[in-house]
Amino acid sequence: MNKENFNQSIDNIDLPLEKLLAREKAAMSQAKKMRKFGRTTKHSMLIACGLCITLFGSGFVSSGMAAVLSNIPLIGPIYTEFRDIATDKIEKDQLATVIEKQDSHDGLTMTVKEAAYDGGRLIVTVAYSGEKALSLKEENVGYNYVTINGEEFKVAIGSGTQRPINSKTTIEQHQFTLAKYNEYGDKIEVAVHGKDLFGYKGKWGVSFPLEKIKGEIHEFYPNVKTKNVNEVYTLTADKVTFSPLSTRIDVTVDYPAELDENDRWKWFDFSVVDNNGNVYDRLKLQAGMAGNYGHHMVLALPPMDTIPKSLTLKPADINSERYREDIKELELVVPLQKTK
Amino acid sequence: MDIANLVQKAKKGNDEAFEQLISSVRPKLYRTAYSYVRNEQDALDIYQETIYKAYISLKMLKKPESFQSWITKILVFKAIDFIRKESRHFSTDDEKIFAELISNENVDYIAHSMDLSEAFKFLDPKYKTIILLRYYHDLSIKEIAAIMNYPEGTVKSQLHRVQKELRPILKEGYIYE
Repeated sequence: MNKENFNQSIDNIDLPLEKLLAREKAAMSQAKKMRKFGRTTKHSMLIACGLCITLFGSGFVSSGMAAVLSNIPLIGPIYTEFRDIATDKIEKDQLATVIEKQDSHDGLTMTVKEAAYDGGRLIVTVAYSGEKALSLKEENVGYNYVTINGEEFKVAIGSGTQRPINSKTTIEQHQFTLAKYNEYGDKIEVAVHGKDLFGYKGKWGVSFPLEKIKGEIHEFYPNVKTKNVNEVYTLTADKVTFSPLSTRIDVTVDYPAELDENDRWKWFDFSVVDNNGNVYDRLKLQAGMAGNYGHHMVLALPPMDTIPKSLTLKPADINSERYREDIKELELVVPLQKTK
Repeated sequence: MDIANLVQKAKKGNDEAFEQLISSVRPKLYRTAYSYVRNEQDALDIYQETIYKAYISLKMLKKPESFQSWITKILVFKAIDFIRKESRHFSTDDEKIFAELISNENVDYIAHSMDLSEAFKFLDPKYKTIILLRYYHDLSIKEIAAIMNYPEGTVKSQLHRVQKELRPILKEGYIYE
C-alpha cells in the first residue's frame, strides 16, 4: 500500500457528474440572489435615509463603499448558512423578528439583527463590525453570552456559530433549546453581552423585548417506555411538543445511580423515523441533556406542519469495533394520537 | 488552462470563466468531500456550499494562481464544520482539539490496519484533512499550515508522527519530511 494506491482509492470514488453540475448551478443561482438582495438593500436605504451608515462590507461590494444597515430582515441566505433545524421554516414563514439594535464604541459595533422565540427555542443573530480587522485569535476573540430576563438560563442544547463576511465583519448566530419548555412564557427580555471582543477592549450589550412567535403548539404525553434486555437502561418518551421552531421530544433515561459518578452513563446517538419513513438525523436532529447527568434527554427535530401518527426513536451506540450499531431493544415507538 | 486569467475574468462577473474554474477542480473537490462523509448526498451538500462560498468571496482571493488551494481550503473547513454539526459538538477551532484528535488510540488503530484507505475511513476529520492535503492534493507543509491556520511546526510534527506509525502500511513511496 503506498501513496499512489491511496490516491487511487480516492480517485476511484464515483463522480455523479449530472448532480454536480446541478449543484453548481444551484449554488451560483443562490449566490446571485444574495448579491441582488444586498444591492437592493443598499440602494433603498440610501434613498430613504442616508443617515444610518455602518460598515457592512461583503464580498460583492466594491472596496471603499459602505453598505447601509437595513430594516429588511436578513433571512434566507444568512439563515441558510447557519443550518439550524428551523432554517427552512423561518425563511418560508418569515418568523424572525427584526431587532436592529446596536451598541457601538471604541471601534466595534455589535448589532442584534434578528431574533426568534417560540417558548422552547431562542435564536439570536448578531453582527459585529469593526473599524479595523477583527482578530479571530483565541486570546483576542473575547466572550459573549445571552440572558433572558436578566439571568443566564438553562439550556438543553445550545450553540454559537460565526460566519465572517470580510475581515472587519462577522455574523454570529446563537441557537438555544431551553431545558424547560415555556419556562419564561410569552414575553421575554433578551440581552446579548460581550466583553473584549475580537481584539477590541470593553463591554458591549444590547437588550430587547421579544414575544413568542404566534403559531400553533401541539403537546402530546405518550408516556411509553422500553427496557433493555440487560435491564440497565430504560427510555420513556414523556412529552412531544410541536411548535414553530422545533419538534421537541423529552425523554427520561433511567439507569443505576452509580453510573452518575464520573459520568459513566451512555449518551446514545439517536435517529428518529416517522410513520411515513422520514428519517431525522445528522443536521435534522439535535440532542442535549436538561439538568445534570443523563436522565433527561431532549431531542429537537425540525418543526413540522403536519403531525405524523408516530415517531420511532432509534438509539445507537459505538460498538467494540468502532462501528455505529443500533440498539434494537431500546427502540421506542411514540404514538401521537392523544392530547392532554 | 490559464487559471489566473480565468480568475480575473470571473472576478469581473464572467460566469463562464467561473464555471471553467470549477470544472478544473470538480473531481478532486467532490472526492475530497466524499472522503469525509462517505455518502453522496452529504458530499454534494458540502460541495454546493463550497461553490456558493467561492462564488461570493472570489473577489477576496489575492493570488489568482492559488485558486485551487484556496477553494480546497473552503471545502475542507465546510466538511469539518459539517461533521462537527452532525456530531452535535459546538463549533470551536483551536489547536488543542487538533492535538486531542490525533490521540494514541486513533493512531494505534491505523497502524494495525492493513489497508490505509480502509483505515482512513475511521480517521477523525482533522486527521483526514492533513492526509488528504498532503497526499491527495500534493500540498506542501507550508501550504497546509496556511490552510489549517496552524504553525508549520505543528503540521510537520503531526504528519511525521502519522507517517512513522503508518510506515508498515505506506512502504513504497514513503517520503521523509
